Amino acid sequence: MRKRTYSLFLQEKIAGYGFLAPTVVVLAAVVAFPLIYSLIASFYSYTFVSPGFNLFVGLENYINALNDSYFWNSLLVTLSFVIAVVSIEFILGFIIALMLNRDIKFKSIYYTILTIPMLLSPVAVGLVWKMLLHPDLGVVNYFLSLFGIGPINWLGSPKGAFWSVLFVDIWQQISFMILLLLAGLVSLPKEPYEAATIDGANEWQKLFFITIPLMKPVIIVTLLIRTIFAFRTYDLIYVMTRGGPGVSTEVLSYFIYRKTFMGLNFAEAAATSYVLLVVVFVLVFVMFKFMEEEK
Amino acid sequence: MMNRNFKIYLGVGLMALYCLFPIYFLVLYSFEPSEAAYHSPPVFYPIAFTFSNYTGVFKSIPLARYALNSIIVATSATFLTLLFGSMAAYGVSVLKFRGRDLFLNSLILLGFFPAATMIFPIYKMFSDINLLNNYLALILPYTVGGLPLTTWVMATYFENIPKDLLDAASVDGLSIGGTYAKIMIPLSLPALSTVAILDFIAFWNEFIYALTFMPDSNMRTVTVGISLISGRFTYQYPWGQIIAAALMVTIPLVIMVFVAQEKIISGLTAGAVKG
Repeated sequence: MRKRTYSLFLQEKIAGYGFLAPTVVVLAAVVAFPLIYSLIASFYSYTFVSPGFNLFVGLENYINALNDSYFWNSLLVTLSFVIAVVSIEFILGFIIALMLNRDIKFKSIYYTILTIPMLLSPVAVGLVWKMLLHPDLGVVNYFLSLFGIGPINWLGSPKGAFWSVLFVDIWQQISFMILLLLAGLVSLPKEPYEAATIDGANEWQKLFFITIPLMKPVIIVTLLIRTIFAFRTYDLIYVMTRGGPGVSTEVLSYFIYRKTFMGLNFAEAAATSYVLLVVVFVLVFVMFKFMEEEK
Repeated sequence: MMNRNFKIYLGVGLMALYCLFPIYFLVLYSFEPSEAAYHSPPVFYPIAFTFSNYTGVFKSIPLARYALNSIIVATSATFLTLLFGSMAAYGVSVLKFRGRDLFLNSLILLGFFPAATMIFPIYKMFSDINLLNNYLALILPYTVGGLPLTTWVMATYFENIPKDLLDAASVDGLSIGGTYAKIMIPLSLPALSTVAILDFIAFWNEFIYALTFMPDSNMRTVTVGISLISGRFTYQYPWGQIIAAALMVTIPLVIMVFVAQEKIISGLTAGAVKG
């Protein structure tokens, strides 16, 4: 009998690893090679002008990367962008989700309307908004001029460009937030609300003492997913501003891209990527610690 | 009571308006000559209705061919992501090994890594093994890009499948593979279809890999194709065609989501809530 359970256990183990294998193999093939390649390159003088591992330079690329003020700028831009989009989308999205969770008419029409921006490609979205935000001919400035505001140079000024990109990203991504949060709200149990009503709790008390605590797991998952995607934002920046004007919208993805393909300095870009990986690692670690505490 | 309902309709209505107003102009301009984009004051309603943008796109770029490329790439990548992701998630749940959290967390970490940092090394590798301009040059990186979140969502979903069911299955003599195929997969269809749709949208719209790994003009995807539509003269930017093309390639996604709407909501509910 003992022998049988042991072999079952072994069998389970083998099968389990078998199931993990395809993912691990694909990851190793497509991710491990580039990661190792760029890790090695980050210690060499590897530029497109003189590619190859000929000149070992130790930590020089890392020192240069950390001394590059554009790197710190793009880190700051990325963090402010991520924090701003995620928090605005979350607050606005939560309010809309709460509204949609009520008994209102035409719900499925709202769902359809909400999902359309999410489906358009960021490239198309960027191009279209560029047109709508045109300082002289754009619809947005035309409407504002009716109220005596403007004209605002949306994409041509550093602040304007940052807020424009933010605003367009929110336009496109908020639906995802709303749908996730709504999915959570729909599945909340009804009993606590009934009990609270009997106890005479008002709407705000129900929101803060029932809805939000019960929604915590959903909220954390939603925030995590959106943070990942916001951190990777690239297409929209590429199409709308190319990081500009100046470096006012240069997020890290774009910064590394520019360093690789326009600066032609792959080694330093690789070093920057690894610095970034450490930053991300710390971020994820903190987040998971936070999530575990919540559990 | 009346008052509160009014506020809710107002809020939801404003949100819908925010979502819709650019779409309105998209549709409007797609049926107007490109010059409409340069009118001052802007054009707000149809003045010179025309289909020429829709027909013109097919003359400017081989849109049908690009659509075929996109369909092949996005469908294969979605399929592989779901297959590998669900398998890995199941493997994790069977093994209950100590590295379980480490495995899932490193996947999430990978998810954070900006695509831009991987472009050059992957490009170099693909060009060394002659994989550029091959569908696999996009299918593989997309699959890898989709795997972290897919595996994570599926793993949390599997965790919530009642253990009794699995015990019953093993008593009935179902092998581990059989349990996966006959119990886990059918039970997780709502979550799978949600993840499938989200992955498909992401792959369909992906830009930078598609731009870099498919340099041959016949192998472009729709997203790249649209971004490369250009006029005969620099001052004559063909807005109308770009918009018409962008709308046309979004229609399949709209239909897909519309058909699966109920499933998406219930899939998200099950996948995320208990996560």
